[in-house]
Amino acid sequence: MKNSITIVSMVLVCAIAFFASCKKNVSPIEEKGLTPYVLNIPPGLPPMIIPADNPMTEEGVALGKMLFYDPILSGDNTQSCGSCHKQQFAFSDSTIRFSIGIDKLPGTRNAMPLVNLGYQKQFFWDGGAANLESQVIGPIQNPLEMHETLVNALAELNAHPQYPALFKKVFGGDKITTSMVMKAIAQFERTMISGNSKYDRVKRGLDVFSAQEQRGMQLFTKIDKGDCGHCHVIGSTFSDFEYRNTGLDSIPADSGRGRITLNPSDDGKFKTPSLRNIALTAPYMHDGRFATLEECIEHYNTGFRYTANLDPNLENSKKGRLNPSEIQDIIAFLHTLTDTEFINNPKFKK
Amino acid sequence: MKRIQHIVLLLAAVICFASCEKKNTPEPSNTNTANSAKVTIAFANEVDGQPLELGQMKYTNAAGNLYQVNLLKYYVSNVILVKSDNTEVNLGNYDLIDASDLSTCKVEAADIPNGTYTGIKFNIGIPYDRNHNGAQDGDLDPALGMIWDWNTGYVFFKHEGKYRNSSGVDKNLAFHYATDRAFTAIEVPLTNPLVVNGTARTLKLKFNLNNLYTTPTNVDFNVDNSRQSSTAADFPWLDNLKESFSDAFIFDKVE
Repeated sequence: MKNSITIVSMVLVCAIAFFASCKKNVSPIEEKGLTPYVLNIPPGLPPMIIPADNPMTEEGVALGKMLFYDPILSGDNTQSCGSCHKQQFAFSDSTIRFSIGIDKLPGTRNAMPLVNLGYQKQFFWDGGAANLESQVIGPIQNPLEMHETLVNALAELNAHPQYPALFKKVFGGDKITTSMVMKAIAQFERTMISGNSKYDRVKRGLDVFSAQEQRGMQLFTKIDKGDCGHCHVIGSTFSDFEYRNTGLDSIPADSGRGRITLNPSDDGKFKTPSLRNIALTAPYMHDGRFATLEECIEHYNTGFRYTANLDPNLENSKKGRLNPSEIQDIIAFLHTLTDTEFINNPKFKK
Repeated sequence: MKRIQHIVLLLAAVICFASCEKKNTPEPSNTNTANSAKVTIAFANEVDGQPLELGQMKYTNAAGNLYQVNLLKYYVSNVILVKSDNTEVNLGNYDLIDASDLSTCKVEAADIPNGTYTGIKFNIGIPYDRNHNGAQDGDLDPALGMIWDWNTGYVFFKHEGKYRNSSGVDKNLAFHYATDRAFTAIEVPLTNPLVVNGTARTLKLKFNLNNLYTTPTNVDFNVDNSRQSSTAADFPWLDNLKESFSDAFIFDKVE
């Protein structure tokens, strides 16, 4: 008996030694002298899946932030990602419908807020970017936005006094490549997590809704009332990130998701946006046509058109189901999704 | 019992070291042995037997349109060499052939096992699992201008240039062949087999651009001169082009 215990304990010791001895090889990040970035995910939000080919590091996130705020990525070095994605507006662009690019030309869609992007699978209003990394090169090259070629941007980065060493530290290699720029910015963007609004605090028992906010939350989810939660799933991300035609136009001026799938039944469909920080991101819809949340909710209440591919949930909703005070209640609830910690977090500041 | 303990200890020690050693020791380098050799597959871009020269208004398609090529780029991926016994060697490559740079007009494989190869298969385009991700390097680097940034996916084939229209005026021409629908499998029989026996070989293929504009119907550039693969209206054109690709590549010789 004693012998068998000894053997078991020896095997255990060896097993520990086995894992301990190999630990050094487990994290290639630490081997390179990098510090793994630990995401601080608030309770209520799910774990974030990080792509295996872009593990997050403190150094990678810092580099991504530097690039995010650096106009070096635009054609005439006057605009950065941060020029149209401003922290005080939850990283959307103030109150204008269409952001103005370096050539003083307006874009065609409203700048999206950058909030909890690590939970989304596809990017842009139409989901055209297949992952967060791939999204990065869109605004850089768009003639209506930063209007820069990747070849120029890389030449400038490679000739910069600081960037080559920073990139080499994070990604290795002797030259900065496109994929490194994409990965660094995506790393920074994945840290932009919002989950400490009044709504979240109430869920955690740290705060209480006002009577109006409480009524608003009930109307938000009630099927025969707001029914907002059908698509803007309540809790965590406040969107299922699917594509829908919400009856904005009989003939959509922007084919939306249809431009990506080339399927006419997807024309005029756009990604359901998250409602977190929605009170900060006016104007609303893909083209910013609604200046206020009132206008927005009134569209879903009475304004929507019976388009051929109108979302079935909306098609089955009775027009005029909300009265003006109920709309105000829902707006009061939506304001509880504003996360002041997020918009003041120095980690995301320029 | 002591002996058993010693054996366990020894075994454990061996496991500990062996398990780690594997990761620290580099794989034995694949030196060229007599069992294999480097094979280069060279693509010669031509128009009906004339070597392609960019920027020259001197080619005529089957519809009789005079045209010039300013840019010709395409992806050749997953080259497979087929042995006479039908076994295959897959190179797993993604190569961008750019007619403006001869050094790109080839696919190289360092270690092709000795044997007699009687066929070659490859794809024009990028397979699905690699097609929808921009953060890639080498020939898939987005800076090479072959990826859509608004709808993540590579343009598999580009022909840009000019054609002389029916009024004698030179007009722009741009064909971009893209989307997963356009992913095309090519198979070229090797009239003379590629025999690999320990020394480097070059397999030469020809690509005849005019073939793209002949089957199943002759393409008249006055009618069809701009296709971006970005609307469903381009599907029939994509499907026709897909068919045309199959006989646009022909075997030339083995050196």
